[in-house]
Parts: sequence; structure tokens; C-alpha cells
Amino acid sequence: MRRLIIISLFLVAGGLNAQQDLTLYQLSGVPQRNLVNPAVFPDSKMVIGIPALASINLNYNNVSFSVNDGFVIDGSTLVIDPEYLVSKLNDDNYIYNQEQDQWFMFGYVFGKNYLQLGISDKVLIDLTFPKSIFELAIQGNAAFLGERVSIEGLGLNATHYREISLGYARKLGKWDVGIHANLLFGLANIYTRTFDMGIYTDPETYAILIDGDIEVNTSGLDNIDDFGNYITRMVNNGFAVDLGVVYKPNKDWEFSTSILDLGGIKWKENVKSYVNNGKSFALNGIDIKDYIYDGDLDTDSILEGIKDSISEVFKLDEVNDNYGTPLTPKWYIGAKYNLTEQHRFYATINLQFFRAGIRPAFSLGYEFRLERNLSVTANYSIISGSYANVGVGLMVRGGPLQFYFMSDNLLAAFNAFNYQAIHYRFGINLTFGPLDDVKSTRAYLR
Amino acid sequence: MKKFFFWSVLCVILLFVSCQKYQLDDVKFKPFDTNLAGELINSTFTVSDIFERGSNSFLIVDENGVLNVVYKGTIFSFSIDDIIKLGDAEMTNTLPYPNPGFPIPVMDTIQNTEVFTLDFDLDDAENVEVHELAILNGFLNIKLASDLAFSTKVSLTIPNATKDGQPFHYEVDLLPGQTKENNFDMSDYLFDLTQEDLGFNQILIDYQAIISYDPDIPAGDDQLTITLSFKDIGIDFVTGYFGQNLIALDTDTIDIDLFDNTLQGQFQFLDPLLTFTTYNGIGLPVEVDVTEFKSLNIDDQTETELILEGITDAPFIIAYPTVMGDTATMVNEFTNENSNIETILNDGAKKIVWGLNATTNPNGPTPELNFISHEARLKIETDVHLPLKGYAWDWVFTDTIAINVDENPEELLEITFRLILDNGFPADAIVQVYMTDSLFQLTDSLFAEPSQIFASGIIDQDGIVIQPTKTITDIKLSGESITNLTEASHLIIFVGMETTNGSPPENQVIQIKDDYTLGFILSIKAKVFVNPDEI
Repeated sequence: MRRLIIISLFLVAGGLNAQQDLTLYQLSGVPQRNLVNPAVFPDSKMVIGIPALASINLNYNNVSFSVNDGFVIDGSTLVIDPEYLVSKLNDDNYIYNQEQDQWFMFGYVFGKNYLQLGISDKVLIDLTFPKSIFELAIQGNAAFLGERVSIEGLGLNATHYREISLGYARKLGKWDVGIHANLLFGLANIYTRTFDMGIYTDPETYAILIDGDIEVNTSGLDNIDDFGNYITRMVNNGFAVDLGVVYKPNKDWEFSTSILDLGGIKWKENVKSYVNNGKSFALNGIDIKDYIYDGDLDTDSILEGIKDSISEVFKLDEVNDNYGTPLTPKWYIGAKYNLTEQHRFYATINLQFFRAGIRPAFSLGYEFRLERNLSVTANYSIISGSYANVGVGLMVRGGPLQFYFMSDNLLAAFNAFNYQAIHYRFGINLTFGPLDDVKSTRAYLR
Repeated sequence: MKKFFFWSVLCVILLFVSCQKYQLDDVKFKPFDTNLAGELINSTFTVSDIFERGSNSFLIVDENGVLNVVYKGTIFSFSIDDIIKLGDAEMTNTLPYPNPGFPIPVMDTIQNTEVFTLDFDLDDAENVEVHELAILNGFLNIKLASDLAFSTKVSLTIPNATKDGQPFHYEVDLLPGQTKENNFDMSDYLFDLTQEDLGFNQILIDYQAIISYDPDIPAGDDQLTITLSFKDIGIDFVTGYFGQNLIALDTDTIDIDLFDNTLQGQFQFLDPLLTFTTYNGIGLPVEVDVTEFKSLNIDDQTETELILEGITDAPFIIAYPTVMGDTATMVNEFTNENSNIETILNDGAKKIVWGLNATTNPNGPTPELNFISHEARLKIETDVHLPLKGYAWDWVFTDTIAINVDENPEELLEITFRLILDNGFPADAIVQVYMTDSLFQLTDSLFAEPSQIFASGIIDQDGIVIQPTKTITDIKLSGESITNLTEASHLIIFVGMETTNGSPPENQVIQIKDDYTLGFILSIKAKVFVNPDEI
């Protein structure tokens, strides 16, 4: 129970927010840019991502406040104040996280074509919740007598899936176009398809009525205990595509756009869905007459009866029908201006399309590039109302070995608990042979 | 390569320096208070739930639409075994073998007749004169023992014990020195005991023994021994004269549980009724002598003699049928016109106790034969009809409830119990609840003063509730009171009740109808200290 509370509060207080990879989208020389725009070519003829280290992405974002706002560090103990945490929430809260671990990546450029194969595991957590549900949990239902506490919109889409991505890009004059065809295998999912519930406590009798509709789909959860079997499964097929375009009208300007994750997964294996079929849950008192035997009241049984009645109220029907879940589409729009061969300025817009709505981000940045061996960038971003985001990126190459690191919010690295957003992405690649056009001066602009 | 390593090392340092700073060993929660509310009990009590609690009572609605609690008791119930019973009886006869003499016969026959007297298990058995006796079940055991030196065929006949018109008859072959024993089911045999040449209650047994004489074997003075015994005989029906027998009955009671747990009270029930009903399927006169008929009142001390004209003032004879299979029914109703039933109920009778004797054929033989069958009953029932119409005041009763609250009082900062009573009955009540320890020492009370937890429904001029009244009572406990409640082993509840305007001088008469209900809701609101670290 305690573990559950801790997890819940971390989700709320230290909620995982959308990571737009704004820095990655513009950091030159990193082959993983292709992950966010399939039309982007690497600046090497062949790229091999070091297995398991090709791209590691760590995200932490909080939509409402920093950890230090809601937690107290007492020596080596983290002290959580649930009441204060709840006070920091918005009326409607939104949490999204995408973790991507690229197990393997191989890319090869031939002529004007680029082929890429990648294998990644992705974990998506898409959680929306109203503040009221935590107010209800912390303050108790007696604080809301006579009010219908709406917990409509509470939703969770937590998905772990494996993506085998085959990418193809081609140069067409001033245009570069690219596509990823992604074969998906779902490993586990929790999907709140419907959660339009409300809780009403009668001000006179204190009887509790929970009304509305609920449907929660799950798949693969029973497999998690056997982790070895779980992690190697290739079930629950799905498909998605990523599309990208880069347009370079002249030597100074580059415009790009990409749309990612257009597709979904069909969940068929070990499906358990829970629905209320329109039933309301009424938590009324027990009928004491059932506990009178030969004129005597059985008080011990009454207490047990009350506990049983509570547990029996919240029973959902289980169904095992297949279901589908969409991925979360993302749309990038970028522009880059090359002031000189080393100095560049860029702007990036990102839109992510969640069930609860569109989440926008905007970034302005500067990049310094020294031939193929060094790229350094810094940017400032506004991410869904969060204004304290200063990002950096670095790519260094020594021989075939390439290391890159970036963060959309570097300041958090020095004092993570003071910031609402923490983001790192790093990886190591092996790159071989510069592209012919990269050898030219203009190639530095890539 | 040097640049590469420089930048790599720098990034790794940047990445992990902050993590080192926040190397946390533990996570703790700050406790908080929450306020929970819920409904614990929600019941609606009907008049049946409230008044019909014992197995000896039921509810009826009388012709005026008033609910009556009827307490039922059986004063006595006789069946055939109480009136006449056939005991086990045994008879042994011997048939001596006469010397056949000379000339030498090859066969010889012995014939004999014996009289068997049935034994009726009654005080006045000597005067019992049975005419017909039909057997319901039971056995006739016949044991034949031969001491003869020859083979013998024995036959036994009971000419007046017939079944389907055929007399009982039994034949058996006996070898020299052999003994044979058999049980015969006597079900459905009818004994005619009216032979003029016999005394009362006697039957004839005819014996015949055919002996296969062998001249080579010397004959002695040997004999046949025949033993007959009736065992476990149940009577289907019997006619005749059953004698004058006294049947003493144990004292018995009717519990008036309406007054259970009552400590005191003033009551006025209007038009109570006691019925005294006899159902008699036994064809003989029975005289009943009531030796006591009284009430024990609510203080368990006071006794009041119950006076029922024609019942308690002198012995009386119960009506009886003249044809077997009929039932004579006699109903005596007693009101305040011919009894003091109203007085004893208004005194708060908790029990009605009676004792009596019964005598069969109190005036000796009757012109008609007595009869009884195994299905016939003589039963006297009494019903006390307590019409819930009248008034009561100063009615105090108590009850004790054992409780075991297995909760940690330290987490309960404040509790408010809410009692919502939607009272459709014409009565007001005040309540006090005391908490006690296991030794029944008072530790606390729910109310500072006895509190009115429900108010009478609104009544019309006839005392009939036309609208329920809702009463909401909040009982707030905190600190030591919560500890006292959670540690209490018993709750002692005192209730003071009065029907609507029931006390003098109003003495408003109210009526209880069968559609009255009492809504009962118990809810709780609690301020709870939550320490997630201890969950």
C-alpha cells in the first residue's frame, strides 16, 4: 500500500511531462536526429549505434512544481507533504512520458538514398487526472458533502512496446524526404478508455454514490512477473509510420517538418478489461435486520458486514475482448538560419496530440559547429507553460567513435529538485566515412 | 581523440554530479488529517420487525384495522396415548401329551382353547371395557417349544382378531425337542372384544397340535409350551368405556415479549381479548379443573389471578363429538366484560401461567361408547390478542449489547455518529447509552443527558399517524470519549418511551397500523489522522 501511495504521489508531484526532444531535432551530426525527422541524413556513410547505448533517453518533468516545492530533503530522507503537493496541482493535470531505449541502430547512405534499421523499446505513460481526485483522497469525502466530486477525465495510457523501424530517405534536389515503417509489438498496456465518474456524498445520510461509466483495458500485465519471458515476447502486433521533409532553398536557410507515430497497436494477448456497464455504485449502510438473531444483535458480524459491503460495491465486470490503442502523434516544424559556417540559429515548434488535447512547445536556439567533430548548441524553450527551460546539446567525434549528450533543461542537472523538468539523452555511435557532400563546406550546415 | 574524451568526461560529470547530491536513503510522509463520512446502517423496520419477534406470537389486523399482537399458547393437547394405552402382555400355555394307549394310532390330535386378557395401561384399568380395538402397529410374538418325542404340527387361531375378514391363524411343524419363535405384524387387525361368554378385554386363543405318533418310541409325560406376547402395540382406534382417569398437566406459560426488558411503565390497552378454544376429536367427556391461571408482571414479582368466567371459577366439561372422525370445537372469548384480561395486560403482564387437571368420564360410564382414534386430538389453545391501541407513558426499558470495536483510537481524532430516524409510529423516545468495561463498570455515556432521538409521527384525531417525523441526532465524540467507546465491552441502552401525548392528563389514544415503518440510518463522520508510513 505504501509503495502504491509513493508511486501515486510521484506521478502527481513529480509527474512525468512531455519530452519534445527539441534539442535533438536541431543538433547537427547526431544520426539519432532521424528519430524525430525521417528525412534527415547522417553526415557519415555508415552509422552503427552501439548496442544498448545508441540512444538512452531519461526524462523527468513536473507540470506543477519542482520537487523542492513539494518535498523536503531532511538529510538523506525525502519527506513528502501530500497536502502541500495537492495544493500545487492545477484543476486538470496532464502527464506524459516517453522513454526510448534504442537497442540497435544501423544506417547506410548509398547515393541519394539512406536506409536505416533500428530496434527500440518504448514506454509511454499518458496520464490525465483532475486535481479533485487527489483532493478527495487527501481531504476525504466529508470535505465534499453535497457536492458531486467529478473525477471525469481520469485516464491512463501506459504502454510498453517494441518497435522495429525500417527507415528510408532520399534526396530530391532541394528536398529531402523520408519515411519510417515501424512494426510494433505490444508487451503490456493499461488503457483507460472511459472514466467519466463522479462521487457524491449525501450531506444528510453520508451515503456515497459513484456514478458514470468506466472501461479500463489491460493486456500483458500477468506476464510481468516472469520478466525473462515478458521482455522477449513479440505479441500484440501494431504498425505506425513516421514522415519527414527537409527543404533547403539556399545556403542560408533550412526548413523541415515531420509527423511521427501515426499508427497503433491491436492488443489480443492476455486481455482483461474492466467495465461497469453503466452501473452506479451505491455505498449504503447495511440492513441491520440481517444481523438480528432471535432478537439479539450480533455486533461482531455488523462490523464485518460493513467491511464486506464496501468491498462488494466496487466490483467491475471483466471482459476479454481485443482492443486497440493509438500511439501519440507528434508534429515538428523547424527552421534554421546559417549565419556562418559555424554559427547557426534555429527555431522549433512541436505539437503532440494527446487524447486530452494538443500539447505545444517552442524553442529558440543557437548552434556552433566545428567540422564533423563537434556540435554545441544552446536553446531556450517554452514547454506547455513552463518557461524555465534552457537546453544544451553536445556532439563530439573522435575517429569513428561519436558521443552525444543533450538536455532540454540543463539547469536541472545541477539541482534537479529545484526544477520541474529534467531531461537527458545521450548515446554512442560508430560512424564511418563522411558523405561526399559533407566534405564540402555546405556539409557543415547539415 | 583528446577532445572526445574531454567532452565525454565533462558530460558524465554534469550528468551525475547532482545525483550524488541527492542520494536518498528513505522516503517519509508528512502525516495529515482527513475527513471521512459514510453510511453504516440503513434499515427500515416494519411493524412485523418490531413486534413479531418470538415464535409464539404473530400479527393480525383486526376488523378496525388495528394491529394486534397475538400470543399463542397450547394449554394442553391429548392424543390416544394419553387416554388409553395397551401395555405389553404375555401368556404362556402348555399342552400336555396324553398317553395314546392301545390300539396303536399313527396320529393323535390335541385341541385346547385359552383366554388372553389384554392389559390397558390406565389408572382405572379395571373399569375399562373395550369393545373394539383396531391395531395400528405392533407385533404378536409366538414361541413354541416342544418337549415331545414326536414330530408335531401346531396350529393357533385367534377367531376374533380378523384382518380383511380372516381370523389370525398360524401353523408350524415342530420336530421332537424343537423350539420355534416368530413375530407377526398385527397392523390392521381388528379385535372384537364383545363375546358374551368372555369377560371384558379378553380374547380367545384356539390351539391344535397334531402329533405323529411312533410306537417304537416310548411316550412320556412331555408337553408343548406356547408363549404369546403382544409387543409395542399402537392403537388405530378403540371403542368402549375408558374409565375415569385423572390426567395431571404441568404448569405452562405464554411469554408476552412485548414487555421484555421493561423496567417500568404505565399502559392502557383498549379491548384486549383472550380466546380459549378447544378442539376435541375424542369421543368421551373430559372435565377440566383450572388449578391456576395468573399473570407475572414486569417486575417479575407481582402475580395477578386471571379471572375467566366459566373457565377459572369452576371445573367445566369440554364438548366432545358423537361420531368418530368429527371434531367438536368450543370457543370462549374473554374481554373486560367477562374477565380481568385488560387489567393484567395494563399491569404489564410478561407471562401468563396456568396449571390444570383433566378427568375423563367424570360421571362414570356414558350411554354412548367412548371412542378415540390415533389421529384424534383433544387440544385447548389460548390466544392473547393485544390490540396496539391505547396509550403508554413512563415506559422505560433497557438492553445490553456486547461490542468489540477493533480500531485504533489514536487514529480517530473526532467521530460524529449521525442517527436519522424517520418515525412513522406514534411514540416519542429519549435515550441514554452507557459504555461499560467488561465488569460492567460505567466508563462513559454517549449523551450528557438523555436525548430525544426520535419524535412521534404526526397523528390525526383518531391517533393514526398521517405523516412520519424525521429526527437527526449527531453524537460527537472526541479524545477520551473515543477511547472509552473503542475500549468498551458493552453498551447499556436505556429508552424512555411514551406514546403520543400518552401521559396524563391527555392520555391520547393511538393506534398502530400495519403499514407503519421506522426508518433507521446510522452514519459516521470521522476526522482521521493518516500516517502513510504506517499504512
